[in-house]
Amino acid sequence: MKYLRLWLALAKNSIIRQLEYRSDFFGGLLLEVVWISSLFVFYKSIFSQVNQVGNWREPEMMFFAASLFLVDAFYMVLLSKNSQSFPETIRSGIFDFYLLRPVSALFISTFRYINITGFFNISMAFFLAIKSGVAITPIGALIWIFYCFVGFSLLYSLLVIVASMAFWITQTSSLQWLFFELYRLGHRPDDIYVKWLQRVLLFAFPAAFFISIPVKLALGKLDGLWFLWPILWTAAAGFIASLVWRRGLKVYEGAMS
Amino acid sequence: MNLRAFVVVTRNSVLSELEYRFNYFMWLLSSLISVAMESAILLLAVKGRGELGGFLETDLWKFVLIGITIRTCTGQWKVVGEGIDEVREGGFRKYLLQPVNYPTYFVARALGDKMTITLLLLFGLAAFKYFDGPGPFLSMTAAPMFLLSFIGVNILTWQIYLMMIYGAFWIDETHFIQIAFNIGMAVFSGSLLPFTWLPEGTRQWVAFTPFQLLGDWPIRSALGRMSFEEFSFLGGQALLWMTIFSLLIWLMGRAGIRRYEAFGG
Repeated sequence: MKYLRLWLALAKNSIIRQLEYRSDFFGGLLLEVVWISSLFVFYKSIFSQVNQVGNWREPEMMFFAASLFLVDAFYMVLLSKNSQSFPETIRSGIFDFYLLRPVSALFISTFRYINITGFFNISMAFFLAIKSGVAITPIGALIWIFYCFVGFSLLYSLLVIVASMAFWITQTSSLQWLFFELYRLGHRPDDIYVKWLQRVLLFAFPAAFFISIPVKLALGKLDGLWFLWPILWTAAAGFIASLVWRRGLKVYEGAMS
Repeated sequence: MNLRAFVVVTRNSVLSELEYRFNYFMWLLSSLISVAMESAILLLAVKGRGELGGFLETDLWKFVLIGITIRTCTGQWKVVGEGIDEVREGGFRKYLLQPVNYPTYFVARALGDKMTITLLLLFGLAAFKYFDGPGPFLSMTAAPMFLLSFIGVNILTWQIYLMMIYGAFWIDETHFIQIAFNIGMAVFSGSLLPFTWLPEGTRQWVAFTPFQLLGDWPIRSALGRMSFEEFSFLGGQALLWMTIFSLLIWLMGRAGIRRYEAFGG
């Protein structure tokens, strides 16, 4: 409850800051509109040529696109700015102040800023999911929401691992660039890729679990042990992230004090 | 134009780019990931059909590679980002004192920044031969048409980016326009998907913008799918847009610098 109240206060502060720069705010909205319409036109154009791409029909692909907006919107709202600014807090010594606060330094480092334009994408994601015309049961809808949340948690844990590298190597922008490029692979259903790449996305860098697996589970394309895999991956990544973070705290030498 | 200054800035830009070798690895990786993402969906769609929307499998491969080359070479994230920040944060003042005007500086900087990766990718395209495709990647007639349109695309994108930077004199934050332009350009220019596949309504409004020139023009030239008449017609359109943009850049530059309040010493 304490953390929820704190997050709401931080969110309020971020919203006020962003609304101060109106051109930036409306520009951010314009950007989201361009992104959504580009992806929409992309899939519409492909399905104007074929009825099915691999195992994916148009409504399913549109549902996948809606799920991509959902997970990516949460990434944009909660994590994007925080993960980018974290190495700077280490370099400049601002992290010293995070350590002095009576709350978790990890919480304050990863949830300090929010990006409100991403909320537009969240609403668009639900709108497009309904409009996609995909046949999904109420249980399927619950599975979708739950596993998208699991996928997002996995993404969060992996980002914490990458951001924590700042404790050792200070300059992590290249690593974050690399991470983002690999994350991009998850923007398409995993089974459209060649087999070896599909395996990489399932077992090495689990980008398939961000969006693709939750959608396939919700649509009934996967069953059995597949319901367990995303949870195991997320638990393992969460454990490693907390380990790396704690090790990082031990090697951190304050810069300003 | 101060040619000597132009050469110096270009050379410095190339050298500073070469300092960050990791960027080359990342560009390569980013291009490979784009190839994987784009070819996967297109090749899966064409699988078992032989052709899709007038494209054979080998044509789609070539399409993906040329599209990615064009987007990588024309995308000026870094230089444009620097320019916008300099206008916002006051760093722009140095260009008012230097013996080289800002558009010249920008072009030299952009040219130098992407010179090595452009040469690398163009060399790769020329050397690439699809394993079961007939003939070289670019035919003898397609190669000069591609190179001409490729130069045209670069000039047009430099001009568009320059207007974005000048736009920061009025609206502080124009980074979003840059990102929106890059995302929109990929789809609406016909460099992510063949232009003819776009919905009819989309193609109609794109015809009133320079988007088609930024992707479809060089790509179809390279694939040998464009008659000389059409190539010339689009080339004429490109010249017209370049003239309009030059005028706009001149007007925006004059008005922007007049309202610019530099600070710092």
